[in-house]
Amino acid sequence: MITKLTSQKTICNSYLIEEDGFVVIIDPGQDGVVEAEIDKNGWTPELILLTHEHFDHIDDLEQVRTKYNVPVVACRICSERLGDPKTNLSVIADILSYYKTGVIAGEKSPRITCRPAEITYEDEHEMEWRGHRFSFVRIPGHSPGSVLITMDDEYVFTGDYMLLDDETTLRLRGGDPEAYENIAIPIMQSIPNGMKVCPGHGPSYVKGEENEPH
Amino acid sequence: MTNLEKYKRAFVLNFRVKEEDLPGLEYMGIIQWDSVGHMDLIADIESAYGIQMDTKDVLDLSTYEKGIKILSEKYGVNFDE
Repeated sequence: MITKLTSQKTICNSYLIEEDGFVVIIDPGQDGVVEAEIDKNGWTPELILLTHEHFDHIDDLEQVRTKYNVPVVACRICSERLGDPKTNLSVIADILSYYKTGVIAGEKSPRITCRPAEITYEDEHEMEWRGHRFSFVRIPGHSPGSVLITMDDEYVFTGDYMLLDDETTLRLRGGDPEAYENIAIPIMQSIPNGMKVCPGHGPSYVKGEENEPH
Repeated sequence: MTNLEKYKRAFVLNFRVKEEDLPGLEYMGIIQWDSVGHMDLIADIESAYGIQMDTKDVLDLSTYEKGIKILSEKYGVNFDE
């Protein structure tokens, strides 16, 4: 079972994949939404997978990984950028949140510094978890540490790519339009129609059954 | 580097403009100073002075001159050194 959770600060999606009471977390997100859902259901987290290093996807990372004592899986570049508020973009969290929501936050957001991931890989990786197969491929353009995570050739978790109602931003620090053109687009085009796309913002959809995303 | 030099440097590096073009420069006045450029500018200004600005001040910093006023009056940055 896959549960999608959306934090309100930056309208960011996290996903929980549950199997017999154990869960994999894809992007811990913000606002404590992941922790609340896990505790409500009495689930036991076993892995945290990251789509990329940006603050809205990792705001609760340290809290969640510490509370449940679970390892984090990320590509090496993502892992290296987790600890620096400039590269995880938490230095611009408040103003970015304002641009997205039109609301000025009551309190200043903290600068986020996370420890590196426990399990890292370069450009590609595969792993098994309770009968599911996860494939990872690095897809720079939005950020150097962005990856697509495919599960069982059925679901693809796309982070800030393949958003149905928004463009992928390439101009934030670490963005690379050339890499997006030459690496990211071919990878995204190679995803077969029929795959369920689970992006980091906005609605999920089936590739080929919706209007083509930006 | 003086505080004024640090301030100018943030604009010059982020927006690739010349120092002589800074007076009168305003948000959305050049293509580089849009919302994304603004976030980068603020990140560098905060880093240069070791401060964290309120969002309201970030939004008010809409011209080169206003930035100097906000930073000196609200964050104690001395531009006369």
